[in-house]
This record gives sequence, C-alpha cells and structure tokens, in this order.
Amino acid sequence: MTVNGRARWTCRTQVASVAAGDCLEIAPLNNLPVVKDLVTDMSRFFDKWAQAKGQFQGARSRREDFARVKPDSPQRRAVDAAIECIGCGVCYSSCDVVAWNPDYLGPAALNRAWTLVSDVRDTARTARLAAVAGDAGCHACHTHMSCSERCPKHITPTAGIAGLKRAAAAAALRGEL
Amino acid sequence: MSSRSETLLWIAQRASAAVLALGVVVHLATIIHAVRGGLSAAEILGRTHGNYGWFAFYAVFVAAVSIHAPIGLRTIVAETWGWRGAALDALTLATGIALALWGWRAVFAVFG
Amino acid sequence: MNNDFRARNHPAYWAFIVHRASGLLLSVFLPFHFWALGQALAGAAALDGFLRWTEQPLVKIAETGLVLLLAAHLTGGVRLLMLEFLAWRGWQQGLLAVAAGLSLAVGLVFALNVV
Repeated sequence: MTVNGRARWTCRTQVASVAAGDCLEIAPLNNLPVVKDLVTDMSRFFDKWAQAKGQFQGARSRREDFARVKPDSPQRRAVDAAIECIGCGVCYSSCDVVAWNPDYLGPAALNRAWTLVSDVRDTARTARLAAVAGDAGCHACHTHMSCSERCPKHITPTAGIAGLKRAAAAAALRGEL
Repeated sequence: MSSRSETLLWIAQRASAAVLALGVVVHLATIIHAVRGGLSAAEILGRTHGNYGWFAFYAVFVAAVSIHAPIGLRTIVAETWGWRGAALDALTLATGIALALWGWRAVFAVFG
Repeated sequence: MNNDFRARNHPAYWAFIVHRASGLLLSVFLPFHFWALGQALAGAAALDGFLRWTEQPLVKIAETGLVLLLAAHLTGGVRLLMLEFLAWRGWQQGLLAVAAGLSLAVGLVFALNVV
C-alpha cells in the first residue's frame, strides 16, 4: 500500500515507525488500477514481467548433469544481488516513468530480465535483450532511483537496468539486436 | 521504434555526452579566461579569425550538441505530451539539423 | 493517483530534476547563443553592439546562471555516465554531492571573473 505518500511493504511495517504523531495516511499502490478501497489490479504489472521475457530458458534436461555456476563470478554476484524480488510492486508503484509512459516495463520486470541476462545457463539472451531494449524498455529509465529507495528487499533495480543498457548496447554494436 | 534503433539512439546520446563533457570543460575554461578584463569584438575576433585549430574544435562541438540535445528533447516531448512515432522522429531530426546549421554558421562567423 | 513530493523527495530524484531542467533551459538558450555569435558575420561592429548589451548587470547575472546550468548539467551527466557504464558500487551515491559541489564552484569562478 501507499503509506504517508510512499509505497511500503505494509505487512512488515510497524505502525509506530510510520505514524506521524497519531496520524497515518493509507492509500492503494500508485500506477495500478484500483479494484476497490486498497486493492489494486496487478495484472499489468505481471504482464510486463512476461513482456520483458522474465522467464528462465535453459538448454539442459533433468537427464543431464547440473550446470556449474561459480557463486563468486561477477555475473552470479549480479544475479544474487537482484534475485530476491518478491513481486510486491512497491518499485513499480514508486516509479514516475511508469506514470509518464504507460508502456514502460518498469523496474521489477527489468530487474528480473537482468537476472536472466546475467544467468550463464540461460539461452534466450538475444530475444530477451530485444524485448527490453524497445522504447518502453530499459532506455526509458532516467535513474530517479525511487525503486531502489523503496524496495523492501533492498534490491537496486537501477543497477540492473544500467546493466541491461550496457548489454543492449554491446549487442547492438555486434549486430545481434 | 525498434529495439535496435532505440539502443543506437541511446549509444549516440551517451557518446555525444562524453565528447561534450570534454568539450564543455575546455569551453568553460576558455570563456572564463577570456572574459577577464572585459570583452570587445575586435579583441575576440582578432584572436579567433583564421584560427583553424579552434575552428575544428568548435565544429566538432556543434556536431556533438546537434546529436545530444535533440535526443534529450525527444524524451521530454514523449513523456510530457505523449508524442510517438514518425511525428516525434521528424521533430528530433529537424531540431538536430537546425542546431547543426545555426551552430556551424556561428563557428564560421567567429573562426572563419 | 500519482506519486507526490513525499515519494519523490530524495537526492537522486532532485538530481534528475536538475538535469532535465538544465538540459531544457540550455537547449532553449543555444539558438540565441548561435545567433549572437553569428553577428560576427556582419563584422566586429555588430558583435560589439551585442557585447555592449551584455554589460548590463542583469545580463551578467543571467550569464552566471547559464554557466551554473551548464556546469550542473555536465557534472550530473558525468555522474549518470558513471552510474550507467561502471559496475555498480556504493561510492557512486556520493557522486551527487561531488557533482553539486563542482558545479557551484565553476559558477562561482565565472561570477568572480565577470563581476
């Protein structure tokens, strides 16, 4: 919900920590259609997740050996920093670009795409970069960093989106995009 | 706009930004130095006319600005008024061309 | 309902506002700048006429403002380039303070030289 104007993970927020005096203002999450009272329709939020190709695509089957991924490699560290997303929508609600550009995929979807672009086992990298580099994709992020300010899991979607910008640029220059 | 075009625009904007970063530092330092003790046209033009080194520098400077500014304005127009597609691209291109022509005219005026 | 001041009141957001506003204002200024310099085509006398006009105190204040805008846009832009191109690090947050400080310094140097 929005509490005192800021999106919060309300089931984990103590009233005492946010009440100014004995007053509290609660509202539904921004940037989402309101169903009723404090309930919002999050379909669009998750649709954009799918549009950003936020699903893992692997090449191995259960009959093959496990993939070996070094936990301290730079790519895996990048994935680990962004993987704990709970899909709460606080970042999406806090993002002004989502408000200004209704098609903008948003920080959560792009963050998830980043974890997959950095996943060495994933095979859909080119298609995913094409999905996130359009005019409502990673380039629409203006580094406001409201997402990173508000994320209850302390993820920095801005960093992941910057990574997507770099990856898309490299792919475009190599002629892969 | 396709992902490829959008990405190339981003690259162009950041690359021109890097060029401008260096250019602006030089420009500011030069202007601050030149402004000391007052300016007169004869003084300025005496130093700049026929100075092909600075001519080249500012010609590149104008080119970089003509790439950088329109792409930035494009974003503002798209986000403030919701423009998309051909109209937006035409505006961007027109702004770039106008800045380039006016800018190179000024460079020629001062350094030619 | 849109995010209001309470949601937007944090440093990286102010940096965005400064960057967008300065970029817009500089873009509006640029054609005038090119026109003024183009006066040199009409000879030194035409340029001198314009330069005399700029001697007014209000214009000098405006010029200092412009230099501040340029320095702010430059330092903010360099901060953005570092955030986008370098792998993410903690110290990058402090870049904002550096950017602000540097741009103010440049503005001051210009003002002191021009006054």
